[in-house]
Amino acid sequence: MIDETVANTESLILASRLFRSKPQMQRLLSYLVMHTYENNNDALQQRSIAINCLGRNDSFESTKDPIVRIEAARLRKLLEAYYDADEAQQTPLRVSLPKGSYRLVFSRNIEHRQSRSFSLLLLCQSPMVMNVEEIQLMIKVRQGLSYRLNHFDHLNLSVNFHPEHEVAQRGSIHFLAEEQHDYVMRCEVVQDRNRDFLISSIVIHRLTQEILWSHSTTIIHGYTAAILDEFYLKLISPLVSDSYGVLGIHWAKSCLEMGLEYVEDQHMAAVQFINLCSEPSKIACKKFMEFLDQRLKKYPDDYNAQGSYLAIGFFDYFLNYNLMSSSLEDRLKHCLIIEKYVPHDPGILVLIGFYNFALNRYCEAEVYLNNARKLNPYNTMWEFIYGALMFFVGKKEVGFQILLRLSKYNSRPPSYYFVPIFFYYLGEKEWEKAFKASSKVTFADDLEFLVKAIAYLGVGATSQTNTEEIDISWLEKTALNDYPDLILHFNAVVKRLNLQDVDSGVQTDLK
Amino acid sequence: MTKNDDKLSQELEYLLASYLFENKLQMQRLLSYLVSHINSPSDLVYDQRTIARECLGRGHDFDPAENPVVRIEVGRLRKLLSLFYEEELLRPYTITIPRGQYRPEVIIESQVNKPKYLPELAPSPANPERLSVLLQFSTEGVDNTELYLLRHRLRIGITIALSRQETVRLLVAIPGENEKVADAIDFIMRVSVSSIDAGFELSSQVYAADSSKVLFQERKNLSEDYEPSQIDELLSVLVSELFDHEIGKLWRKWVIKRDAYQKVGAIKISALVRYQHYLFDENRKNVELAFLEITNALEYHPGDKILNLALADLYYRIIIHDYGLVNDPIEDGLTHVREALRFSPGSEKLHTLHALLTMFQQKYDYVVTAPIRVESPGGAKYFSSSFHYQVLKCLMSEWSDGFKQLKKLCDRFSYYPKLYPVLAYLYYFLNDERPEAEKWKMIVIQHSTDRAVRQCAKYMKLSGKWSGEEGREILLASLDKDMGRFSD
Repeated sequence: MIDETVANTESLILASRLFRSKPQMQRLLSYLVMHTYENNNDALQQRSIAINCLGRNDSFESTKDPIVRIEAARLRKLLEAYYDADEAQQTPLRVSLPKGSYRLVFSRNIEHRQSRSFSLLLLCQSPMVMNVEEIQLMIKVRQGLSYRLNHFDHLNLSVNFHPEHEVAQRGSIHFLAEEQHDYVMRCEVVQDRNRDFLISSIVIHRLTQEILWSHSTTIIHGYTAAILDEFYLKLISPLVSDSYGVLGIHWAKSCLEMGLEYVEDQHMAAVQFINLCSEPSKIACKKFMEFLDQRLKKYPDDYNAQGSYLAIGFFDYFLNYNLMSSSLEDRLKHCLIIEKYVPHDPGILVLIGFYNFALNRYCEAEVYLNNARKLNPYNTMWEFIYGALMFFVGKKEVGFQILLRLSKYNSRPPSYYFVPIFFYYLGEKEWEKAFKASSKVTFADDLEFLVKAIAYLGVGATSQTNTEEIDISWLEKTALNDYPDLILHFNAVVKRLNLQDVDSGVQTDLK
Repeated sequence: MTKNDDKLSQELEYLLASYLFENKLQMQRLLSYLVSHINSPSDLVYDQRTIARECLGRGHDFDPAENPVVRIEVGRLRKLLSLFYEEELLRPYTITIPRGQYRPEVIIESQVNKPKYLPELAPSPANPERLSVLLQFSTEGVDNTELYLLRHRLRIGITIALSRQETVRLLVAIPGENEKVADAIDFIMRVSVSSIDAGFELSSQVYAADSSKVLFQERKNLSEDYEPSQIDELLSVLVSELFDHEIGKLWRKWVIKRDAYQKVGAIKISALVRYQHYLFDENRKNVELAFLEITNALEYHPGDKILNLALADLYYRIIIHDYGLVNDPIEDGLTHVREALRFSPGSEKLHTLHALLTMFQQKYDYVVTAPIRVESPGGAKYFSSSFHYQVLKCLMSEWSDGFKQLKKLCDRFSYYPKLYPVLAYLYYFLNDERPEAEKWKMIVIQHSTDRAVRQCAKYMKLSGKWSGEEGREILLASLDKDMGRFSD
């Protein structure tokens, strides 16, 4: 009747040091486990517990006899003590008795409680007949990537260090991947005739064996640390960091295609969040909030889910969704509470920085964003957020330079990278560049409308703007206040550009 | 206060259905009556006579002066209500009947205390195998931008340094949270900054969480135009003195606090306590106990990162001190380190150990002599990780810089691990500086670490006149001669 994990949990608790010599507690726990599991409300009333479990007779009156409350309090304490002890680590479920009720709560124990995301196996290899220089660089790259990729909390990284697997062999990439690895990344170092090195990297989706990414770089023979640094960034930025990268987006998409009901509960938050990052929309936000509401009721200590919830505020604010009712101050306060328990999580620091920015506390915002960048100096997305916020708080050049630098690492950055660039060129009266940047902003809703609207307004094609869709958002205000002669200049730009190119998103160089 | 009648009557229904009220018809009647008239402007409905007549079945001749039934029954009701709300924590309304009146009051739970949009973050369950510390910051005197920046520099510096220690669980108090202590904390660290003449003063205090006794305190000054590197320097000393596994004072306290776990059969914790005992006193007996307990604990907790790290470290020490506990410690050790690295690929300590063990395997070409920590130049550094990194450099034949740094490091902390005299003796011996070599030789013999000297000479990378297998033979022979025969 009772499922195996519950039964297993129960028997482990009953056999434990704390419960072993306490028959009354054992009886009470077993009674509550059974009736909680069977959802038997009547049996979980004080009176039933007293009569059926604690040996009281029909004359029992809960006002005169506090036995049930006392015993329940004892059980509550005992359970807490049990999970604090070392022996509880083997216990698959966490059983607790919330105050004010006699219904037990089962939840997955410790590590099962956090939302998590996909896992990646990193293999670094050199050719069958290798020379010392190749293997030296290979070992360096393996170490450098291990260390850097490990800074990404959303990535569950494992790295193969066994020397027998350092040699590239046909098919070894499939042979070495295990079931828990969603993706495998292989970097192979080969030296060419000029003694320079060719590093080729590929990423494979283990399940479908699809090659998602391939890339090769030449590293000159007398390479320096700076050259390697740039190599790492060019790999990390598009693969795992910008909007969670090719890997994250592929993972989220394939989970969504499979259908959310097949996705494990602890993966759901990450799937939806990555999806939101790459294609923000109001509907997705709303659905995500509903999911998180449910999830957090079950697992209030899932700080990743809590962080996701607060991160929705980011979209809520910039895209003017107005889905969140709580005040910015409250949300900031909540972020600070999360930070207390996970002070090393850069994502939370970014959120604190963002909420400070939204509350016009620019000094605090900068400090927190800087701290996040220190915690994970390899995440170009944090770098983007920092650069963009610097841009909007008046440090225009600083911000813009950061954004330009970032575009070196990722040839196809997410479309929101172009929003501050668009505004920068507007300010510089570089109409053509601004216009090109605007055409790269492709969002599911409001922001795209806004940027396009500004462009359309410019050509006098007011009929094409759906004014009802656009709220007076901060963006629009910024645009209209700061650039009053916008329309005039757009006219000029658009006349010079072929109108048909507006939506085609032609390849343009940011510079 | 506006009371939503619908919601209020829902609350009333909920109350009446609860186990506290379900069998008490009189209480139910009384409560319903009092609550349903809550918006009535007239006080007459709350007159004792009316209540007695309406709810308690008394007649028109009821005289409250003679009969206390209303007072008694309302008293009972008050108790029931307070009991109910004690157990039911998450009600949207709280109904009370304040003393001295019969008109109930309804408190709507404020949004601030219980944000509806997100539940409070529950702290994750304690894990006693780690050292938990709560970090609190404060500013003395008037706060200003400079102090704010300094405080944050310190804070992020400590956070990053402690996040490198898998074994330390760090919590950072939220601003304004001063006296409150989260549960399952071992120590509280308070850092405060203040402005003084032309600079800043930093003070840090560490308390035991359960007794609030001050364990350690320290004060440092910083000039007004401090360099960020000065902060790194300062934090290196601070985190090393407190949290370093080899010299950290808090680990000594932790060992005492965790003593009780040994008796209840918590194998993981007791194994880590053993490991810690070995680090405090490096000798063969301690390493044997630690090695046995750690390997045993790993059988129960395979894949545990902390245990794996401890075992990797023990292998290194078994090799370098030639403790002779394992048949082939270099091979076994390397296999283990690689396995451990697979799941903790970002561990700086494991990468250093990997390099050290590869050195012992004598595959010098494959030793990455610049482990991770060198790649990220900023930030606080731990004593022991710096120490073993410099040991690696010495053994990779980079003696001149390696030993200089080693000496500087040990002098700064006035702490000289047992390996220090071993390397000092080797260094001066190789450089033919006889008086210094003699001095350190005596200490080596006193510590009986002569086997470590031989072990290093046997495996380290040699250059100059000692290079080649022949050179090594000559070196070993002349070391043997210098120290007298090794005791077996």
